[in-house]
Amino acid sequence: MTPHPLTVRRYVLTTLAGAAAWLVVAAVAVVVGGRLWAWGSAAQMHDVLWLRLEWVATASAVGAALALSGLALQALLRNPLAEPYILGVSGGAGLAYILASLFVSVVAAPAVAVLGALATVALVYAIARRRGRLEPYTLLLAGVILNAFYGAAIMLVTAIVRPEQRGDIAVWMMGTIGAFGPQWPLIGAVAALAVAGGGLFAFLAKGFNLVAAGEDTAGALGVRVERLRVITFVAASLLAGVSVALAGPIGFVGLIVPHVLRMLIGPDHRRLVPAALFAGAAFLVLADLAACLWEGATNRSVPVGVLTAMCGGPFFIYLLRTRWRKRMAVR
Amino acid sequence: MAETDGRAMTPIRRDGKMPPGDAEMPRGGSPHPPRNEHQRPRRDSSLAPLAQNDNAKRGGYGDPPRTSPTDPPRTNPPAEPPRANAPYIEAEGLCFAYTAGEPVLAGLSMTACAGRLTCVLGPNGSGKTTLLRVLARLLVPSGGSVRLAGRPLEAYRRADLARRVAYVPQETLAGAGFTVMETVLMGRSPHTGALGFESEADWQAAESALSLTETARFAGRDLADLSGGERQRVIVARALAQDPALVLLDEPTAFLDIRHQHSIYGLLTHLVREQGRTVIAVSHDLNLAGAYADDLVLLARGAVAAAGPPEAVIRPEVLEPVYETPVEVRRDETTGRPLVLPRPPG
Repeated sequence: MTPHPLTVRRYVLTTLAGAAAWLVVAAVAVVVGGRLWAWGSAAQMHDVLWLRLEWVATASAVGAALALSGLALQALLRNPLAEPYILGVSGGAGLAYILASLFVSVVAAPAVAVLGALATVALVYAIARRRGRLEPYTLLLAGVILNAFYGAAIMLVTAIVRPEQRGDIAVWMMGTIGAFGPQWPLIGAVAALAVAGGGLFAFLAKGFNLVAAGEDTAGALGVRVERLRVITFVAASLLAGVSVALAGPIGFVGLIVPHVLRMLIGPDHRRLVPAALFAGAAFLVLADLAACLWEGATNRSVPVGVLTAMCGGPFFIYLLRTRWRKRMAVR
Repeated sequence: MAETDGRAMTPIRRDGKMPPGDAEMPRGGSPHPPRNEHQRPRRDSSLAPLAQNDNAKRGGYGDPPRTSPTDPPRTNPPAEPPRANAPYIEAEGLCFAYTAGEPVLAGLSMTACAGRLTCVLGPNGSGKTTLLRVLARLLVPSGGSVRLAGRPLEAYRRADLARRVAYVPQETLAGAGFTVMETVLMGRSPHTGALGFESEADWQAAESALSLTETARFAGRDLADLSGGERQRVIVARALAQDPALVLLDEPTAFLDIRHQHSIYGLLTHLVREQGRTVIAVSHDLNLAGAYADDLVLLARGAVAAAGPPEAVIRPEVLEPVYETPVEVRRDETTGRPLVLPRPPG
């Protein structure tokens, strides 16, 4: 691949192309719909359109937030398999959200979910860091183990709550879009945070590129690695936490989207960040549309989290067998 | 405090020109003349684009970049080009420990002079890499101080320091998918803005660095697809793209065969002789260091055991207590440099 300079023009074009692709996908999703086929009267049309807009907005906000979170974590941890779901961040946020919903307040639950995500990232990071360096295998294993622990804790909570609450927890844990009615304030908050996160990561993208070459190299090239790490962890946890609060733990979006983008436009995070914002949104809208169409055709609902996991599992194995090994090459 | 000696040498200016009256002076005082004795230090023609880049326009190393002539000056004063043989980086009483009670650096003091190649030697665990990381301000010492061009290291802003000092680590992560050109362009990072868009001058600087390290033909290839020797030259090219006055290298020839070892040290010599840069390289190879270095700093248990020209350091009575093994030192008949032959204990 012949390298090209990253000019402002190329940067703007990449960003606009991503935005256009997302808009097309979103428009198709609103028009085609899924769960609600009949347009009916004008009043019904209004309601149906509004519902579809809500689903598309939810999927866009959550997809963008998860893709950005995954991209940032992969860059910072120099681990191509890092992703909020695999690292247990979504699990930590999910457990925190459920506990807060049951025992504190539904209103406070999103904030508690963010705290759960943040605590998990801090824990995984602390476990994997030795003598000032990150051990990638330990990092991954720590995430997997924490994920298993959170899963067990959620099952324990599900077992001891009232029977009528179990169904809600089970549906939420599968990762669904629009399962619990209109949540426009939360959708707006997640969308705003995703856009803000995209803006923040655009400014950190140069540092992400340099960290990929090693923390010492990045430090010697003028990056304040510790500051970059703290800001990125907080932002990535925030994005993953609010996504979980809105749609439950939807896995592998943060894994699939950044890697597909790397294959398409290369490893430069200055291009990847705006691309991930729109591609993440488009990917989850498409996945939710597929789930909706399935539901419309069979009258049986399939949570979008199940679809992404069914795509993500094989993709994870592919990465583990191929790109992972190359990524970890040292001199 | 152990220091490298400040032997008189012909000053080499960063622009490759000789100071008035010195044009015909030999490298007086040096016990081991450079290989290219007949040449006066001049900027290599392949580096012409470097001379045209923004650094050159700013008229000196590490001057903060100005985006326009009307920009107000930055808070850091412009750095003076380092004077050859003047102390450029000075460490005094450095202490550092990764784990409490296990000091890696124990009151280490050393000086590296401008326009010279200094090699840091020592047995495993003597603190070589830690010293280099402290000099690059990647680690903050628990005691002591480092001065760069006369100013405390911590007085420099990060980006400002990165325009003056390049660091080549021992291990290079190469699997991120970046091409060689993209990797070398990373060296221009301290010179670019917040979003990191590179200018034409940045590209020219990267191309010059690739040309100097003879890696231009790999520009479009993935760094991970190169051999160890090729990759190491690319990493050195990235450091050169920073256009630093001081280059720190941690075992630049580890894992390389003999040809590539000499190729790397030949390049480092070129940087010193032809471009007037200051180079500090950590090495385990006493013979390689002895063959190329102007000065050696021998570490033992986190302190300087000996420092000076190779002839003063590569001596059995100096090396044997440090490495705790018998050695024999001979002299290379061609270069006159010392050669170390390890002898079986007992």
